[in-house]
Amino acid sequence: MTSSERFPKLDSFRPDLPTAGHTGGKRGADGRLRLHQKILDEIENRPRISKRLSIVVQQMAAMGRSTMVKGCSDPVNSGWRRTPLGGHHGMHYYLWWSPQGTRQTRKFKSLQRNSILLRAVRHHDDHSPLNVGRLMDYFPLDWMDLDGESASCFETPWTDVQQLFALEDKPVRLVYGYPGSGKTAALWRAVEARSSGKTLYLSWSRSLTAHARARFSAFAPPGSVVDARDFGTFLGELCGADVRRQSLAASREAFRGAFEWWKISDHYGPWRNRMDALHAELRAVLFGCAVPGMYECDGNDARLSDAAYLRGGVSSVGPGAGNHVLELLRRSGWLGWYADVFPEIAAAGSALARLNEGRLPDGLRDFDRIVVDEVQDLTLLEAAVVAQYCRVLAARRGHAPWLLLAFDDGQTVRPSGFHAGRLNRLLHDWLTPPEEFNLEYNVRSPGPIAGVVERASVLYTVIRKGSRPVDQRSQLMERNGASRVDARLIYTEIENREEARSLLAGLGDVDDVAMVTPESTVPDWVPPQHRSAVLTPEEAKGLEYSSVCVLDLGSVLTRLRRSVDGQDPLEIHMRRTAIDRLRVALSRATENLILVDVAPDDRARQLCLELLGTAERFTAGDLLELFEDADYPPDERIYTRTNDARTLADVSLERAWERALQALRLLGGADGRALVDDRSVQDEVCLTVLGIGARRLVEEGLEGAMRDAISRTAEAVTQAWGSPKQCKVVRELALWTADRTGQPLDLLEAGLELDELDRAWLDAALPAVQQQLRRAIRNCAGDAVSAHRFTGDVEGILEVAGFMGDVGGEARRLRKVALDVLADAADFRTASQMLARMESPEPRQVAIVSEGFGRHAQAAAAFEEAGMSQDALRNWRRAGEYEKALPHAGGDTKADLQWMIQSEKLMQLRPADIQNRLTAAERKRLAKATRMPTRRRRPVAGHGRRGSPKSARSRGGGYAG
Amino acid sequence: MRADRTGAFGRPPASDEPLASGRRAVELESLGRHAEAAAAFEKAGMPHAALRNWREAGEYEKALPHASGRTKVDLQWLIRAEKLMKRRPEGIQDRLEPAERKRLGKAMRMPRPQKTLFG
Repeated sequence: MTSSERFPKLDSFRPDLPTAGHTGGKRGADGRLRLHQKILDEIENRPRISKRLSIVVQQMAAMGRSTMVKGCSDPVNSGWRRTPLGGHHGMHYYLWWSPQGTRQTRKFKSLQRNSILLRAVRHHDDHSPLNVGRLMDYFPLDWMDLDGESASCFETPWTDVQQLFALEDKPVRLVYGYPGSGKTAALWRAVEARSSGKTLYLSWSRSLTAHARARFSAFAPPGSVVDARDFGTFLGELCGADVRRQSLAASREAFRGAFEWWKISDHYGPWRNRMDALHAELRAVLFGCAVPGMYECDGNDARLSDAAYLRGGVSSVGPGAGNHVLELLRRSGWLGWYADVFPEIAAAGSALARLNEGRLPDGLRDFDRIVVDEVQDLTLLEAAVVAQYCRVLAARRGHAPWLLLAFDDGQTVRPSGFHAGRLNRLLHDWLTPPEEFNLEYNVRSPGPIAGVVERASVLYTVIRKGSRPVDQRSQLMERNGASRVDARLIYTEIENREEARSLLAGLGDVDDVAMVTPESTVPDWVPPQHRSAVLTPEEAKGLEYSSVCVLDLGSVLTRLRRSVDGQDPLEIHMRRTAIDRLRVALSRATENLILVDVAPDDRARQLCLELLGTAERFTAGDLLELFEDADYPPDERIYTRTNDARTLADVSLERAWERALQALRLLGGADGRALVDDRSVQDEVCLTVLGIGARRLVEEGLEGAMRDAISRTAEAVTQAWGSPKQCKVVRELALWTADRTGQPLDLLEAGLELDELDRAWLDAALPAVQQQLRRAIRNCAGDAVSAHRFTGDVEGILEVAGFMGDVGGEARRLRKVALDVLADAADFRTASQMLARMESPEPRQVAIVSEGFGRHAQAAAAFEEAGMSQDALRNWRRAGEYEKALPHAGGDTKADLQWMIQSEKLMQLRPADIQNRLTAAERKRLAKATRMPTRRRRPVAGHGRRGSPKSARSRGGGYAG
Repeated sequence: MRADRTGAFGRPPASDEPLASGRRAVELESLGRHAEAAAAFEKAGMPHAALRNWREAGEYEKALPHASGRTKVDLQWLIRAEKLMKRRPEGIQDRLEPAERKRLGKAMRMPRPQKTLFG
């Protein structure tokens, strides 16, 4: 039976209407923010900034800060944070706020940890001293004030299309749009508008997943459950094995290594010097489109068959380059390296195969909604896993879950081969035709920068229509939002590479300026000491900086504008990818977008200036002077780096670690001498260093000096800025990751001692080894050395380990296993403690422990309840209860019992006072008759003490049942 | 020798033979040879004395035909008890659990006879 026959197309969706009005109950966002009355007056006078303010306060309620945070360099106002709110003709207004623990808020002892005071909305020129005032001047905001509904203090942050998407009743919906158009927010809104059911939120981006988790813990309605997981963890759960986390760079390196080993460079053909493109083609198409049921597959369904790959409509590289791909694949012995180079694709194939068999792990059985963000990061195979998962859920539950997806195929920097048409076909054929929503408004990028991105999109017209992203029509500027924000567009021409290197050295020390290359690799002329400061589009995606220098754009534009020779499909394919990268690079700036061109020719210069529109022209000296004047306070410099570190962690943990260490140095190092006397900043640095360090220890399998250095730094940071409990977790994590054959219970129990805020870094690191942890926990339960640990908070341990599904049920299973082990080891005292922790222990377990304690009658009754007749018989007899034992007995035992019962009855019928009437001879004869013969020694059958379950089990090989 | 309830020697015998048997029985009883005494008493037609001697000899079954009332009930019970004990399953002693052994022992234990005024 084929998968399609087994899982027919779905038409069994239940209504999933949004909840009318506000849902009751307390949510996580309650009480965290306190708003000064004056802000309401301000936004009443300036309604244009209310929408942006609404977005910002929602970010703060969820994450404890906004995505962009500025400080105050003026000592009088130091400690205040500022978040730009937009306005007219430039960055006009800022929200001034302060988290608990700063110079301003320290005096309010009653202010809870992670509280934030929202003090004022001020003009950007207004740096007059701002007094925090009295705590009573602030009123706490609850979720009704924040959720953007009618009762909110602020204007709704949603656009009309976002609202339509969120409130629509079509079961499969797609939302797409430009960077910053609010796709993710639309998904969140759709989830939060429904007050019941269980939602699974998925994204390949772990930083986005962490953000979503924080968001839903603050805003998800109380009756609903939202489980936010990164896609790797989802695949791991489906396969029952962790998916090795590997950066794109590491995958490419492994790929190059595999090809070099086979010495097949003579056969590269059109792929010569295009190894990254070849890697992308294999990942995205040959392996990534291997969806049985959609395409003919080969090699155990791991890849497309030659015919399917070469047939039009799948790959866009053309038959010539395609044939070379197949030739290279054959010559490189792909089965030997495929799973190492593309572990996530191999896992997706395995997950799909399991789903095709109808196999679904416990943790994924009861979701009502599936939400996938950044779908353009998914290969077709990975998208098919999601679709098939919906079908299997539908087959099991009788109704299908709802599926909400968001994508921007113009941001496909991960080689996924994402194609909106193919996704549509998959959803149409496997689920139901999707409803599409296009978000036209850019609510994030300033107007001039959004204009540059839009002009860059025109480049798509040089490639054929089928290869372009969907619907790249002009984006609209949100009338009341951030699009009103101005930005500077600057063009800087550098005469030669030497001067460019000097500029890089100068900019390297400037904060909040990012250097981004539009290519997939850092330009050759960048010296080694500055290479780590230059981000590729893959690395920069998701980050925002005040100022972004895009390097060498002129040469890229020249290449893209060059007429395509005979519409070479491979060249078109390369161009599409290059334009996607370009758009990502251009859309990272929030204030200054600077194109830095090294020795451009006239054509390159002209193309850059056309792209910028009305640009200011700066020399390298002007540029350095512009940033020299910038006086960033230390807290802002730290926030920039911690923000970088968190986002970079998705693409390069090594670079993220560098950023985290920079933040640590700015704070004063790990020796506890703070240069920034601000508790919230110290927390921020501590949690960032721990988060990145933990992920490196868990995911990179480091050894030796590097591993020691990371664990030492993390430990020192907790001693200086964190807590002893965090320090303990770091130590345990270092121990366990050094030898993963050991038990992880010390680590998990230490993690359990941390509160939710302090543990977020650990929660972000452990999903990569979730399946390994689960197996290790099960092994511990079955091990006599560690079974006693399961008398503790097993549910808590499972939650720290990131267990998906029924935590209570798994905890019961583990305790059951541990209990058997304890009983086997005759440790009934611990077993009894474990029983006391169990809500409804099984009669069998009660029986075993009771027997262990010698409470045979209680044990026998429990064994009877458990249907374990032989064990009940043994215990009734040991309790001396012949009558109760009799129904369970047979053979000799039955005869014995019957005789004893008769004997006892007869003795009971003994004539009264007979003893006074018996003669001595009669008494003697009777005594002789009733005397039991001496017991014969029985052979030793086992080592357990007689009467213990151990002996019973050793004789009989376990409980008889 | 204790006197019988119906008189020390019962009714006078019709011939000498019972009388001889009676004398012999008395003699045997005085020698503590209760079984022989009981048989002789039976022959002498002295059922009460026979009963007494059969019981002193520990012969429940033989005592029973001479018994009546409470004594008969006692003897019947003793006989049943002994029969039941004889039907005890082979090797049961090796199969009993300690608690069963204890309970059975307790059930089987005869109370001690109460001391009379005369010891």
